[in-house]
Amino acid sequence: MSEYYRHRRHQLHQLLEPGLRRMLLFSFVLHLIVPIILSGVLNATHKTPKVPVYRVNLVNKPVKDPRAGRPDAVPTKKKKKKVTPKPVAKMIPVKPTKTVKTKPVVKKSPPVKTVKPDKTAQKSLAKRLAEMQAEAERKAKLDKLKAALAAQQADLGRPDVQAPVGEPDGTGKGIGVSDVRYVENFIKEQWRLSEYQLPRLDLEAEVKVYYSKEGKQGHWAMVKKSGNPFFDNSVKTAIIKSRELGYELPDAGEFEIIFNLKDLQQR
Amino acid sequence: MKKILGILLLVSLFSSLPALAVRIEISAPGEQTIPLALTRFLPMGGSATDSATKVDEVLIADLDLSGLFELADRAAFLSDAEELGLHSTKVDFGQWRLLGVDAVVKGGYHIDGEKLVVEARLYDVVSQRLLTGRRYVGKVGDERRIAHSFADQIMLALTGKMGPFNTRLAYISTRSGHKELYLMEVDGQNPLRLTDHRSIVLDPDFSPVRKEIIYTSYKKSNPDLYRKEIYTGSEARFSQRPGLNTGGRYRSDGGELVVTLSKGNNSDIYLLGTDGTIHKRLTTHWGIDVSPSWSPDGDKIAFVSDRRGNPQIFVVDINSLKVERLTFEGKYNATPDWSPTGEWIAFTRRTEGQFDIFLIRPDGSGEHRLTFAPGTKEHPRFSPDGRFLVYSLDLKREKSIHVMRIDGTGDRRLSAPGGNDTHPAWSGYWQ
Repeated sequence: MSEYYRHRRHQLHQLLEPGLRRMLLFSFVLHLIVPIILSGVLNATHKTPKVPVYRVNLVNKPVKDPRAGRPDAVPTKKKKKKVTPKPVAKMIPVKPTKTVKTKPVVKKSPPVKTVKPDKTAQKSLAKRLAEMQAEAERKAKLDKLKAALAAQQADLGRPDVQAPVGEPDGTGKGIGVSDVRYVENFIKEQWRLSEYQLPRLDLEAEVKVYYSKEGKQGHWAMVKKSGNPFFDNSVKTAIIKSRELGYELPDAGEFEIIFNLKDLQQR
Repeated sequence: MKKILGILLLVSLFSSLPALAVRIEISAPGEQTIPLALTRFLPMGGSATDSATKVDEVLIADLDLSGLFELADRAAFLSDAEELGLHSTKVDFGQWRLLGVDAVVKGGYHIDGEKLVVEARLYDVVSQRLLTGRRYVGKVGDERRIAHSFADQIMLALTGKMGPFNTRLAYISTRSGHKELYLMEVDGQNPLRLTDHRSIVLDPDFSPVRKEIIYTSYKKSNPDLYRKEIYTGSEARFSQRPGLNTGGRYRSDGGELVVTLSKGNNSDIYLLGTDGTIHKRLTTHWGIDVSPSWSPDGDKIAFVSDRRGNPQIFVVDINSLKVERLTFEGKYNATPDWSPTGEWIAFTRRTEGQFDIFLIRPDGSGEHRLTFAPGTKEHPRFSPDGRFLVYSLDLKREKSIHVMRIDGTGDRRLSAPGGNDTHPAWSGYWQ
């Protein structure tokens, strides 16, 4: 038989054009490659980096010891240690109930032949079944609600939906007002300068200013000038306008304030 | 005893050391506008006229276009707004500080027959000093010019660079039924027709040193180059070589012009003297070379050429005649205009079936798109201070002149509806 098939194959080979197999193979490869190319799989796809989203609290004053404000904020190692699964190991003693107590039940099974226990067992079984059904329904409802919530959040399409209020590098509790941040924000609010006033944005000036415990400005001096009169003048104006912080500091002290336009340069 | 003394010395030394200063970095201003109070100009003797309203309207429009200011609400002004306050000692700065403004404009006017006198002041509220002040003497009807002029002064005082508001715009309009040359103020007011060729007038440019405009006209069938003195109205044909005589642009000192001449054959870029004679041929290529624009230092010229297939922007050095390609993106880039500051070259690019305005640095870096709205934007031209761009917008079969800041913001229409207005050109400072 095998001789016959070999002979038939040989005959077929003689009938077909020489190199047909190679051509068929080539055609197959082409058919495979063309859809791949058209699908764009081979095109270099640059994943656009995820734009960082910051929750800016416009109502409350800057907080002392801010808490994490991003869903991807790295949790501290200490917190991880606290969640070690040791207590789970303690919960394991379920095992003895399975192994030790089940056996006597099997041994005592013969008395089940009595009628009365059957009724009670049926009742308890029915009750248990009803409970389980109710539990299943409750779970199904809960799953539905969870799915609806997830769909709603996906619809919003905003990465900041689940971002808690806080700061990207924050790890604290978010309680209290940060004195330094308050001073920074207060002086920043007083600083008014338009990009249209400046020929370039790589300008920097430094001011040393003293504030009393009551938040009143004492002496101040421009330590470093930018060289641009409009920039320097705007800094001076901001300092003059910040005569009173309207906020009590924990201690009197000196602040070295650097004014630059790094945020505008990055745009 | 010695030990006690040593401890006391150490304690006194530590207590005398200054506490370390807290370091704060503020990397952007809280607001990027200057809060300004613009009070209504008051009559300096005599009764109130509509002169104050005219000055007011122009100042508000100019300062708003600048993008520099946040104008305070007049409803919140206190009693000092009703005081003339032409001297800093007579201004109640406390009231203005209360409103949170950093600067205040005050002024007055006096009309004596046809004579109009306007006094205008800009004060710094925080330092309580005069930033700029001017006394203008003119005729009744000069209110707009005076207001534009003071808006320029405000810009100078707060930025170190004069504003472009007291300048003019030339453009081509079909309002008379033909494409004629027109002139208007930078806010689109007082349009004035300058030519009556009843043919096709194109592509105007202002002389930087004289009140003179050059433009191309088909008045004598051939596209010839003309010059016209604005106030005398005298007109002369300047270059009438066979073929194209177009795209004339004055060098910043007014000493030479660059034009496109075809001389019956292929179009190339040439330098002409003010008498119309050819000084130099800048390009020699079979491709079409058009739309030249000078660099502010007068060493280079940006132009459009299809020598590489599609129209792209190139730059030629007028001394070495070395040509370098500037744009590589897009299939149709046209009408370059070099910023007077030398920082940018504006041009148009066809994107998604319409032309939009782009900026690119002369070294080819920093290319970015400025306009995104519907309609084709053409012929961008910089203001003399390089802060603004004027261009023509072709939208819904109507062409109009628009102006915007060079960051693409503050866009507004200048020319009135009812005509096709194209080819804007911005004059130098109008003395």
